[in-house]
Amino acid sequence: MVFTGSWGRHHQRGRGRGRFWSYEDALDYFFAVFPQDLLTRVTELTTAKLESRRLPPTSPGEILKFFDNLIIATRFQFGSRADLWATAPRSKHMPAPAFGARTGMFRHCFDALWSALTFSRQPAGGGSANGQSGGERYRWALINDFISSMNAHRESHVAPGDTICVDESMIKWYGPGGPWISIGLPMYVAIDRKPENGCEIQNAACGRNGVMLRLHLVTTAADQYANMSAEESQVLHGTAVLQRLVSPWAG
Amino acid sequence: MALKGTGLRLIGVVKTAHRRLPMASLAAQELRARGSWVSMVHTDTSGAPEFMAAMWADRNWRVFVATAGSARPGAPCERLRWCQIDGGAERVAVSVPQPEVAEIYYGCCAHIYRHNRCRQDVLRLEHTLGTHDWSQRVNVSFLGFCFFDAWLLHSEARGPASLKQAAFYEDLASGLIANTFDSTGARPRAATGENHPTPPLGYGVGVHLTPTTMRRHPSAGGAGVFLAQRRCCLCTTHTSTLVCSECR
Repeated sequence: MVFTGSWGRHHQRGRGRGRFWSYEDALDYFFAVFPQDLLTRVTELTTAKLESRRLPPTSPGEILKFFDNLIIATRFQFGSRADLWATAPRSKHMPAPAFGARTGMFRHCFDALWSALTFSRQPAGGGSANGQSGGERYRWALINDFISSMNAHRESHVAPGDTICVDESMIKWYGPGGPWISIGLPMYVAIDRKPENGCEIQNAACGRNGVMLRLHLVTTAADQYANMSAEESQVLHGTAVLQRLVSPWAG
Repeated sequence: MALKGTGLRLIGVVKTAHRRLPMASLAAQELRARGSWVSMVHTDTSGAPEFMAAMWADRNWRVFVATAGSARPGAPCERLRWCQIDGGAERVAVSVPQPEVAEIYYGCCAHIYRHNRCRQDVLRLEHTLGTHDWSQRVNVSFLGFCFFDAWLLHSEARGPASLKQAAFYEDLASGLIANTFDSTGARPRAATGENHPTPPLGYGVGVHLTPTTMRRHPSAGGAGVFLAQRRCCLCTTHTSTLVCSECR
């Protein structure tokens, strides 16, 4: 797989067509797979929401620190999330999480960002203000920009190997949802043979190393029918899904 | 055929739990032993092969439909399996012959399973960070896609010398803490005539002195246990904080 990163502290090696990028540390690898425009958009949208609540605006650096908090939180065991900022250890055998000193982000700041974090723009006109309820189109709009940014980034930066693996993933969700109510996850998928219920995603990954190449949300039948192109309506559903997932690398 | 027109080839396994599965004709096929296979090729009017179907007997039988690969023998599938031997059980290398189409298919079909497992059971963002907002859950999961893809890229680039997943995430976290994103491109302020100008804003400079979280990388590789020392922004002495306590 060839990955042409355009961001980060990389060094160019080699000459001519065979040159490749060498990244220094983990942060550079993250920037190579994370869309740059998404960070800008998240900062803008989150700042707008924070300011509407009369809270100070945020910055890209602070958003990245917030992502760091999410990663480090997975390295600790805790009951309440507030325990992560405790400066006294729960046990003498465990270090104190002390996220305030460890990450430089205090709890009120994290909580404000966690509640205001926005990844996608809401379409103008109609729908509720926060998109949590209302028509399916407005609810999907809460996550659509993330997917489209990732797809566009991978399409322009990744050249996969000779094989592409297509399958589906589930994102766990046991809250409200379904096409029959106008709140929560618009398409709630529960299949007996799957370990979890929730949001289903069809995805394509590089057959060499497994880097995700393209994501597609499984929406309701009505939404799929409404967004289907003329070409897709001529072929079987499985073929249409495959074409949608691997078409950027066809030919 | 529609995919073949766009230059893409397909290898897929036939779903057995389906009423259109031709069970009668498949049952008529005779497979001699484990590791044997039969195949059938469909040709177009000019006699060129269009697609093929192959039935391969492993412990259970599998049916492939493919517009790529062939039914020629591929590299045998080799696994270590526990077997009952006289006087006990031993791990025995089991080698099962397989057609080329099965070799290609099983060489890459598990990548998304691995992605799901590593994201959900190693990183565990969904498990750790509970939320009542479905869009928050889905967006954070997509963020998990990026974290795991970064590790995949790292392991692909570094090869056997790459960090384990947990170590990589800690390395990434320390990199994200010490990011200089907000201060990149900022010009130093003009001198105000004061003896002690205000130090530039940066991480660790605030009400409290916060130590740097960057670790020193030992020459032998791996993660270091010592904090990386920097120079104080003002007096340029070695220190593990951005501004030393003398200059504060």
